[in-house]
Amino acid sequence: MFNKRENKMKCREVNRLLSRYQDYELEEHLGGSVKEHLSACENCRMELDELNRISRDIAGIRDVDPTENFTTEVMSLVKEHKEKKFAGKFAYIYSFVFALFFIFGVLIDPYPSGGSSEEIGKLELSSVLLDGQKFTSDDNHSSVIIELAGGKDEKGIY
Amino acid sequence: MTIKKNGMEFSDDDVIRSVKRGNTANFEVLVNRYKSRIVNFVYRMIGDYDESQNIAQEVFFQIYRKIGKYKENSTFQSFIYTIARNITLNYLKKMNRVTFFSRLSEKGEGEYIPAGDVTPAEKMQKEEREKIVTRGLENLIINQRLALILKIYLRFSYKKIADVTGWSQPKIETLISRGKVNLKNYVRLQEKGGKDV
Repeated sequence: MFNKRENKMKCREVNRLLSRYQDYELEEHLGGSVKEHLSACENCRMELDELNRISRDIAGIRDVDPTENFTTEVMSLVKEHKEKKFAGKFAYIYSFVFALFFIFGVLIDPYPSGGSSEEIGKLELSSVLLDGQKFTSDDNHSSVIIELAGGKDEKGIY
Repeated sequence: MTIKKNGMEFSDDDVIRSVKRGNTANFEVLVNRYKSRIVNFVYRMIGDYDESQNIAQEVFFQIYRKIGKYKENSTFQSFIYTIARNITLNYLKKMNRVTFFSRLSEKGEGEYIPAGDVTPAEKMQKEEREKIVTRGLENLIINQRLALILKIYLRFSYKKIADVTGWSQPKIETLISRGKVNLKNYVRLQEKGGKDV
């Protein structure tokens, strides 16, 4: 027979632990005490019965079925993603190759012999100058001056 | 979980390893294995049949995208339900839904096939009880609902719930315990002819 006051305290404590007891999540020694209490306390047993019923009700809510084409739709999302990722990788490679061409084609000096474009032009021009003709250019390099042997200048844009 | 194919068993980790190696088509095995549980998990959380299909598809897509982050020997179920939980909660926050379970009971209307022989009166009673319980879930705060679904529908241990949600053990105990009591009180009130609170 329970002491009335003691039983009331115990019921409160048991109620606090009842959910964990029901879920088998209570430490063994506490579980044993709750079990012992339940065997003698009808109110707490009724409380546990109600919790069990609620749990059965939740578990018993009817399942729904995935749609027929559920898997197909997921797999097409996956496929689309994979293709985009693949295309993205290629875009990266293209960008990389383009950058390489840019670096080698533009930033690196195209005249590794050390001559500037002006000097190269001068070399090419000199090959067509007649004897006595002399090549010079003006300051802004917009024109070249061919100095003739007789001292007369001929100016033109080449 | 393992499946048999040509007499061989393929665990989740076997399939994941294969997908990680680039055999994307094998991801289908995981989709078929978990689609029903994910759809029903989402459905119980949001209460909308069509949306639950869309969200579940998004869950699988995100699983595929994040599969590289999955570490073998950890629990794949925790991995997928963490993603499912995050996407579902984001959806609920976005929709800011207050009532959503009304459609849950509508979906199954007239389709209820209880096990065993039951009289029409019993059948009606069970249907009515299910409606009350689903409305009761609707009235719970989201975290209590999530905790109850993980514990009671998916039968996860508290430890596994902690893995999925990141909640502490005491928080899980409190959410589940209060969720059950709130739901029990709601059902009791409804069966006595009370009104929604």
